[in-house]
Amino acid sequence: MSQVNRVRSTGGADGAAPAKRVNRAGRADRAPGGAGKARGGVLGFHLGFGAGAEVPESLRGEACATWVDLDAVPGGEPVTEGEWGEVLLVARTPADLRRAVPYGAMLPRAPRVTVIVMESPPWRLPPVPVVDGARFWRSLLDVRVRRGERASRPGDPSGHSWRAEVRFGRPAPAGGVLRALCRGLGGLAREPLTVPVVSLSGAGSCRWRPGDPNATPAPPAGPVPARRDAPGCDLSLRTAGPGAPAWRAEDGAPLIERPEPGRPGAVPTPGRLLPVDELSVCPIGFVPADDGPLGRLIEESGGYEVRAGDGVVARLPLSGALTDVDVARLRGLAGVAVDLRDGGTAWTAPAGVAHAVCGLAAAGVPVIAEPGTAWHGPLGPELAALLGRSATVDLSDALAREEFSIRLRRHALTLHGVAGRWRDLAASRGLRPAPAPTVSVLLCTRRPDMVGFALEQVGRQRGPEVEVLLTLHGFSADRPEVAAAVSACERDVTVIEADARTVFGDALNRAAERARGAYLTKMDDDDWYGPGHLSDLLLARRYSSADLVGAAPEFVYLERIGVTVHRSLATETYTDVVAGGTMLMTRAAFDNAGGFRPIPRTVDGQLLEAVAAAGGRIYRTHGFNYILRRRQAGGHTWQEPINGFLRSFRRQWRGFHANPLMETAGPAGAGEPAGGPVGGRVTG
Amino acid sequence: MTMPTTPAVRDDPAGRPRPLIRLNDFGAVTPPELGAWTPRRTVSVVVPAFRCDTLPLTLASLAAQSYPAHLMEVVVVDDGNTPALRLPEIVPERTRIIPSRPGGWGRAWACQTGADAAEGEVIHWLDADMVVFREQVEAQMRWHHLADYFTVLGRLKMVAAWDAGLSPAEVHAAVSAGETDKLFAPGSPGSPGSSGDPGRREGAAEPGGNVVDTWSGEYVERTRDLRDAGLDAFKVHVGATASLPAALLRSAGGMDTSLVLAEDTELGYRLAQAGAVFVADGESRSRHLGASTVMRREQEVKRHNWVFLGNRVPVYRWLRRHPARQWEVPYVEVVVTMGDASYEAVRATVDGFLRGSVADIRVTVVGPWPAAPGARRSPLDDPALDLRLVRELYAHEGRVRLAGSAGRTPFPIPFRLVCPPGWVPAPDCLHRLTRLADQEGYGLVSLALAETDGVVAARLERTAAFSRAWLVRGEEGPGGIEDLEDVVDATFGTLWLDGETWGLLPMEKADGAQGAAAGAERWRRKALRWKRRVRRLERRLDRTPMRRLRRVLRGGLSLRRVIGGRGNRARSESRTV
Repeated sequence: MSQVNRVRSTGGADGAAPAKRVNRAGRADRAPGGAGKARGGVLGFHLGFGAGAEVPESLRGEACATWVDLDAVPGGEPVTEGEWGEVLLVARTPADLRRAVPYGAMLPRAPRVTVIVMESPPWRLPPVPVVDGARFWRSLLDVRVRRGERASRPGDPSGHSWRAEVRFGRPAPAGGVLRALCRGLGGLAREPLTVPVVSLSGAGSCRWRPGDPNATPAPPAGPVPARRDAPGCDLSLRTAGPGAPAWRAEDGAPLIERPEPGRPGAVPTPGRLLPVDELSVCPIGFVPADDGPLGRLIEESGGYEVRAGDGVVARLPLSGALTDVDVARLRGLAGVAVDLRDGGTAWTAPAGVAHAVCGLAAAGVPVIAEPGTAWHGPLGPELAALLGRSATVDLSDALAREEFSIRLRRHALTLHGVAGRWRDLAASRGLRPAPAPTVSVLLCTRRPDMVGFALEQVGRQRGPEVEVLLTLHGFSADRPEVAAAVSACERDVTVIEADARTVFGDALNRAAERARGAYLTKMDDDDWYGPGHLSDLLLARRYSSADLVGAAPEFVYLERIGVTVHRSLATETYTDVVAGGTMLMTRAAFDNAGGFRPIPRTVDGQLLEAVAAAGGRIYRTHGFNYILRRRQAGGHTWQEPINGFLRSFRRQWRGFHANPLMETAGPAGAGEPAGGPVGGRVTG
Repeated sequence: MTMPTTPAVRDDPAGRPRPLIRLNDFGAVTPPELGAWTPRRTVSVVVPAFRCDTLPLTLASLAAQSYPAHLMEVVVVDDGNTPALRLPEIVPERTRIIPSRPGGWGRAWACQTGADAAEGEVIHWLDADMVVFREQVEAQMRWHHLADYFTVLGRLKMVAAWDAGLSPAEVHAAVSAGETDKLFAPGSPGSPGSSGDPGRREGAAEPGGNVVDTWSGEYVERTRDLRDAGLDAFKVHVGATASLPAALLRSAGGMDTSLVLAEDTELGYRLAQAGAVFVADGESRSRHLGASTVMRREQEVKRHNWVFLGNRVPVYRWLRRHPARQWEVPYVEVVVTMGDASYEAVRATVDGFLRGSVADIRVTVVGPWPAAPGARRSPLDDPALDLRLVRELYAHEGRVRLAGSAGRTPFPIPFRLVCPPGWVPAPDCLHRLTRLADQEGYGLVSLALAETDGVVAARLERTAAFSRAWLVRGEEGPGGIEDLEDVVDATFGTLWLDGETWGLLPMEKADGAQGAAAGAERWRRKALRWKRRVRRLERRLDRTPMRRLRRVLRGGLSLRRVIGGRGNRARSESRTV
């Protein structure tokens, strides 16, 4: 730890001076004689250590820096004037670092920018800067990214600390460097931005737009600084306590006022709850454990603690904000129980509790609570109703636990994620919300008798707007069963007839060319898809930022022997393989990868390889919306031998078994009759 | 006796209720309260009697039963008493004495004689040294109205001593009044010393009390009346007070009349293989007068029974530790159907199983065996050549049987493994499979071997599970084998596994006998290498502290000798470890 955390002083007048206090207003005290002017002074920012600058002792002693708690900065003007020798940014977790991004414009310039992340969950990439087109990168001299030791507590699942040091020939904006590092953490080539463009002012307002490099910091009383020939924002958000100054709006962007996070008060009304940063607090790293203890969320010494047994698993601030590291620590728990029975009077800051519950749910941590009616508003009726049933969930059954977790995620991520919250806020202020995502389903079949079944699987998808590109591989659309199935489908179906000699990859590419959706996805004609399949994939794409997402083929129905197996596959993880019939990607990612290869088999695997080769990331989410049908070997796609499915599995059912999320009862649809072979004989 | 007329018995239209019971957990079946249901089935209480002065007491307590007299008959079997038994005064309405069938003797023989003569739908065994409580028969009979594959065990306690003057009238009165337990309580008419008793029978009152529980009683309590006993439930089948449908007894083959002891445990084993569920009913109470032989001469009983049970009950694996011996009832029947397979394929499979670590197996090779020697033919172009070769190959192998068909069940063999020819098991294949099946109680474990036009599979079937499935489904049930397997899945569980992982390889891949021998040699050499390495390390371990000590003590001759001696001793010790 010491190797990373030791901050070398760049010498100069401040070399031996003790660390300075940080005032609550967040403005750094100037050293006598103006440290800012003395080139070589170190200005330190910290995030995520709580109020009162609880930066680890090791850093405070050696850094000799002037410390600023970035969470307490009211925003707007630059934090300090003058030039500094080094800007040091210390964040407890990557999630905390992302929160600093919207304040980038407020950070000073310095020839040396150092970013330290004290703890990073295992799934995060190292903070290697992803350089963009900004001019200051041309004066780059040196980048060093070093890994520290693992947090040493035994059994602690959290990962390493990281230290990134970037040196320039002339002072560079620390905010720009921070932005580049955060892109690196997410493995992003470029940033997907949240709309609308907002201005943020007031302490803690960055929590409303974590990771947003396009936000405009504004002073607490306004006005919002204008951009080049354009207003500074489309919406203004201000966090203010009592006695806040009047707001001076110049361009007429509507103002949204919110209380400062973590302040005491009544249970908030809906929409006033902090959003959950779904790129940090998300299902990534979910563990399907069935033997963990049940944690309890309790209020303790100006914050919250999640306790299991006698030990404290995680500590949260009064604002209830979770980080990716906290979530990683909670993964081993069966769930977290939260007492929400009364109207919130037992809690100092009910808004913080509600935010914590939303965060836990968004991360897929099973929350056990029976929310009283007062909580239904802030949590949303669906999430509250779901939590109301939580006591009946058998957490010792891994399948039931994960199913409950998936339901929680869906509601929490959709309603309380940053994207969802801002969609609602924008709509409430009269801004046109972003249109629902459109998905083009590539469906290619050689079997006329499967068309009806396959279209039915698409038809039951909930959520996104869906069009179907149905490629009939080797037969005509005039066949009565095909025509009937197409006309029965309520989706927009484009029927493409492909010659039987067309190779499979070409047939798919031809369909992709005619697709109009923002996303392309491939579905197979004989597999079962739950109604949440596409919407869960889109959610996974949002929180993973992956170029291609897919489900794990966890559940397989072995048609020839009439058995359903649940395989042990790692899910909610970045990987290089997903089920071929579940791949979903943006049009751009598909085009970048060059589409499908013109070969008859293994086109799925080849596309995955191409996406990875193009530098894309592939994410595998849970497989509860998908049942792979393992037919007779042969046919037009490669199939794993039946023995492979029986070699290792978590569970096995005789007959077709669908988990409740599939919302299907039997193996409907054409196919071979289910049945086991008879004693040692070969059956056909 | 008056019975309320409210029927509390579940009837299905066919009159055959068939609850699905997982292993032995009969919790899904709720018996009616005593006295609150309408019995309908007939029962024959079979009492084998040999030199039993207590028979009048037993019959007196039977005469006071709550079960309707018109549904109950009592068959006392005179197991060769001289003079022949005569009925005492107080007996149930329909009681008869029959002599044991000529040609045999002993409890099993007498019981079977009684069962053959019995007319009731249910056979209720009762020993002649028992005094039963008023609801004893009723409590057991209520179960037989709920399914026809229950074997119900009553609860008995041992009475160490009682008053010789205890009269049948006293017993009848006490049982009728529902005060049976008071008969043997201290200070009661039946307890010793209360009437200046001159003749205490055997044993003295235990310090713990006159009435003591049995080991099986404790086991029953621990397993929630056997609900949690799983596959082991049969082990507490004690025949002193037990009942079962006559048809179930017939399907299990009746009593093994060649046994003179342990016959009830052996019957319990076969009943389990016939699909029976064992129910212990704590409300079917009784008192056994006097300590049992097991209690008095435990070691001798074990010495005797372990020989007889070892031969007949293959699931007592600890009685069959010998690696190669043969026993009356094998552990697994392996069925290999010849079909179009070559002699070589059949030989590879059958020899593979014969070589396995489970030696007590029977291999049934099924085929259209031709007559020998048959009409004149060309020896090498004979279409039945492979059949003839296989028959000749195993003609003198005692473990291999050639048959035209395998039959529906290998009963009383507890497992059947159906394996297609050409697939060769690893030596521990059967051992691993049966152990897995017993851990979870699986009724059917299928191994996927290969996929051609269909899935080639081997199956390990549990006889008890399939017998139960036949009982549940009935002979006339719909559907084929799938339907039967569905029942097996619901009652015992089914599982599919990968053949190769579990040790079944195609003959081209299996190394055969030479391979196994080579493997053994490889392991032996490896073990030797490790042993040598351990010895080397041990020697070094001994030397180091000695060297260090020598350095420290540089020179001291006398000391050195002591330390050297200690070092040597340590070395020799470590070698023996």
